[in-house]
Amino acid sequence: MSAAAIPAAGPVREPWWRGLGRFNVFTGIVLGIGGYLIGALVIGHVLSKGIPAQTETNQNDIEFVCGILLGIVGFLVGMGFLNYPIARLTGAAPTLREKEEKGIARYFTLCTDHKVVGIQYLWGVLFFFLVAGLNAMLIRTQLLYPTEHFWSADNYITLVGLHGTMMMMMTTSMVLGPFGNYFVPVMVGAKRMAFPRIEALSFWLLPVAGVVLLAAVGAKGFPTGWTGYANLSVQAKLGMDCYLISFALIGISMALVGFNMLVTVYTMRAPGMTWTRLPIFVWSVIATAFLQLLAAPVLIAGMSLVLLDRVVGTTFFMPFSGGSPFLYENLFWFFGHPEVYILALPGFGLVLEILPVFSRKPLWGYRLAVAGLMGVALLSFFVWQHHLFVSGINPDLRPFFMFTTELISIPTALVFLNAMGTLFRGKIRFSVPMLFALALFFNFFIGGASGVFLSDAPSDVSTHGSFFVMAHFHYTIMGGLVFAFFGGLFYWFPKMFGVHLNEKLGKLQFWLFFIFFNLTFFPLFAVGMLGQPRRVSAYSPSLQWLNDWVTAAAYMIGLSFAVFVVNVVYSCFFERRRPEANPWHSKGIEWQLPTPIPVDNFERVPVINASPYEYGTPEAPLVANLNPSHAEVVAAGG
Amino acid sequence: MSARRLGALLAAVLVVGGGVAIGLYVALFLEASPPPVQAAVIGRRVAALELQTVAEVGHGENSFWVSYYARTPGHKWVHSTILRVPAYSLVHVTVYQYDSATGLRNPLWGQPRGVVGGVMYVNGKPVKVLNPELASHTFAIPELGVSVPLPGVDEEAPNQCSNAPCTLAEAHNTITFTFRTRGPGKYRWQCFVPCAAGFIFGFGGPMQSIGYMDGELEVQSS
Amino acid sequence: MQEMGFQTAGYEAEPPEVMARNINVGVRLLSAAMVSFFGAFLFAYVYLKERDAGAVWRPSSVKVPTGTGIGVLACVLVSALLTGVAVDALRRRGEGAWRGPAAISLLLIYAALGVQCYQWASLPFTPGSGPYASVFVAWTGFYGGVALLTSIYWLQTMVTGSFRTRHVPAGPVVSVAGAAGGEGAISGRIQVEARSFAFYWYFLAGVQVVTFLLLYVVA
Ligand SMILES: [Cu+2]
Ligand SMILES: [Cu+2]
Repeated sequence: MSAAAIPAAGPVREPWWRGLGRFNVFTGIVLGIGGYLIGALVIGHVLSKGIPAQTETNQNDIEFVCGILLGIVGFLVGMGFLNYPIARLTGAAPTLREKEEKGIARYFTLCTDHKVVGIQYLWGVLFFFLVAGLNAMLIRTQLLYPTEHFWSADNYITLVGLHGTMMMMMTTSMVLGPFGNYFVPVMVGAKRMAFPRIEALSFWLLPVAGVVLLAAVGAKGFPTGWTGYANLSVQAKLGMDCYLISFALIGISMALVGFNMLVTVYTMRAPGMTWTRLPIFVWSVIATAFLQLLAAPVLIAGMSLVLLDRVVGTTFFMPFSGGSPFLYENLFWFFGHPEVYILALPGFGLVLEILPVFSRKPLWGYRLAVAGLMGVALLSFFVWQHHLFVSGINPDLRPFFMFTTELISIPTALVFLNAMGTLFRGKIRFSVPMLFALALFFNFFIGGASGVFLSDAPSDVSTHGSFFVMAHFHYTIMGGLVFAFFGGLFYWFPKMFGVHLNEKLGKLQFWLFFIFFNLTFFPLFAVGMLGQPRRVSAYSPSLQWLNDWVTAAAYMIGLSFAVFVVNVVYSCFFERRRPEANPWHSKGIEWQLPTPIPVDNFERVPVINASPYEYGTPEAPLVANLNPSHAEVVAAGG
Repeated sequence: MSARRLGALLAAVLVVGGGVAIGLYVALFLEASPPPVQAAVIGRRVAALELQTVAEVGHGENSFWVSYYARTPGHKWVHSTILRVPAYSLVHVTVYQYDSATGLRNPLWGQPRGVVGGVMYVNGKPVKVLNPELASHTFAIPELGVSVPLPGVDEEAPNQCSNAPCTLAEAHNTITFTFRTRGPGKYRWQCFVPCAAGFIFGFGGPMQSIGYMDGELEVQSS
Repeated sequence: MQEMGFQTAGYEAEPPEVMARNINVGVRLLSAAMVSFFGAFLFAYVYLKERDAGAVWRPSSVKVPTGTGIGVLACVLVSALLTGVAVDALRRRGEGAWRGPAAISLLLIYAALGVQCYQWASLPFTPGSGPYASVFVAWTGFYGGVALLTSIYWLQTMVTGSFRTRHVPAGPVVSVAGAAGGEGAISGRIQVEARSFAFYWYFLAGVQVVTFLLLYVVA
């Protein structure tokens, strides 16, 4: 396109409804619904003709799945994701980015600005986090009474499945989505992510997956919890298809994020940004991205195979036709265990990024931390069978997987060492981000220690499948990742939005969350030891008072999130406290840039002069030289 | 619009819209439960329950599902498995069994347990242990230790029931037994034979749905 | 390529070798992800076959469609070979010499997909005829749907783009290691991208060889 094609007149404000006709969420939803109808009522209807297993039962998976798949395609077309590929297929020259809307509209379109994607991710993740949290409240409500019920058994297990699946899906993106997309390019001194369109796609798959998963409620739910075990999943009602498709979509999104992050960090670092100057958060992103890239494809394959069993009639998981449910368990956990580190590692990176800032000391043992993160990532591929200890696997395999699982505690402990070393004799400021960061270590310690009982095959026999497991992984994921997420959010909110979140409300949220988090999940270890199984709504009347206690505390966690929502609204619209340029006095590159960060991040490619952790060294240079001379660029190897 | 106005608007939308959305969402999961059926009181601390099992409900959304039915003191058959019985009482149970045999996976369940005298009566004859292959369903209340196997009807028998509730004119077995309740509270009861035809291994569907093969015993102080 | 009214006009001024390098690194990561993806099918194959090597795995009524299998394999291998020829021509004689063999290579991938579709339409068994049939359907399905389609997309964008710009006079030669410069303005990028594609396509051809050995020869 040449400059002459643009009318010379000044911008004319067009009526707002014109925007609806261009590619955006609105057109996406319209085409998505159209796609669903065509897929289900036309294509699926024709394909399922003459297959009694589909048409003569009250569930036609072929119609439903065709509808959903075409609905997804319709949404992506409506968002404009196919415009560029079609243009390219017909020979158009490559471009890097899409034409962008301005203002608020950007957030509802395919936007290739990594900062916009980061913020899209933030609100998307928060929305689904709150929905999944609401499910948790409903679950706890059911458990107020041992046999008296608010929801039927079917609906209860669907609630459990929705809560678990949505949390596992959304939390994979909880740190890499908002903070990874927003800050990794900035932190490595790049102007953009390596593949901006793939970045946009990885985000937009997330709300699609969330909506498809929620649609399960209208399709009679699914009975499998978040693990979707075959062959229960093969015989489940229509809602199972929602689970399978949405989890596969998240798998695709995860693989794309991992792919994009790895390429960005590998190729787009600014001159002088050596591997040892990389912020530790970026290292944790590398480790996570590596896991996502290699583990998520197995999830996609696993979900697809179950879908084939349900829709096409293959027999992968049907023992009486030569299939095996163990095949599913292996595929799922080969992804599933790395998945838990996909959740944990960015949290570690985030708190290690925060600790030096608030203790005014360099990160202690930087190389150890990197080794720890990469070690965890590597080992996590060799432990998956610990989820099958009591499924009837070959008992001779147990010691090996017990060993590898317990081995993982060593690199994990390195991260704790880094934290302790950094805090030691530091000038600690207990601001809100620091409080969240410190809490992670408390919580994760309990989570990790309880994990030993589960990794140990003999004790796992009595603890697996109970609330003990459930308490354990909430301590690691919620106590780890979610705390880190809020720490990161309070830390970077001033940079992302130019508004300082209210400290008092932040502290209120923190203490409510921290105290009642522990009051919720610690008793659940006891509940599990006393024999209450996961995912079952009826329990022994003798456990009622413990359950009621937990439910009451869980409601208080819900309240702490309400405080957060209030804080965001209050700080952004009422208090509007403009932060200083660098409110935490951090050395990170992102704080050297103006707020809001310009579209191109850096006017010129910067030159990196130092590690971002040289606190307490007055003569340390600024981390980035934002306006380097040619000689400096060459000297830095650019 | 000033930021404060916008904020107030947003807050109002969040509170009202959020509240409505949460309410709707919660309502999605609420499901009408079948009506409770009261056992007939036939004496001091003695009650009587009448149940039937059918191979297929024969109508409605889940017309192919197996199910229990219960009879009210007014002799009306109700599609429910929520049973109300008095506490610390003897409960005489009569089950009209219209479904054919599936067989027990665990032969130990062929023995009636937790019932008075360790015996059940099949068409009037006392039975202390049932050939596991003949069982169609079980009536079990785990917390009370009650587990009674219910022999299925002969598949060759004439006049099979096809539409629930079935009548005594149709082919059936009559099983009677007596169990004793404890203190007030809710007790789970269910069939332990994976009898859900059409579901892999017979689990799922009716096996996990209250009103079908799964139920609640509401023990009330009298 | 300056686009006015484009908020981020500065981006397009970025030297093409940045993107070329991204693609070069990206293709290796993509292939690694594909190892995981097809590894899952390989695992299913080995797991289900080892569990039951007898009649259940592949009942005698399930006939292996070897003829069409050879057809797909042949198309893929010849196409991969031509990709190599094209890259070599590109390096020695520039973009004009690359275009022809690349286009034929593209047509062969289309042909592979066509043969594959024909095979599915005339499959001598149903997906439910046991574990072998299941693995066969899933594996060939995803090879066609993921491997072949992504290759077609990528190669076609390069080929059509190259045809479109074949009359554009040579722009400034972009210095990319090993590149001799070509006629189009994006020649520098094509140099690296064609090699990246070749890497991807060789890799996928390797996957096809493994597929063939397992699904058609060992069966
Ligand atoms: Cu694990
Ligand atoms: Cu039954």
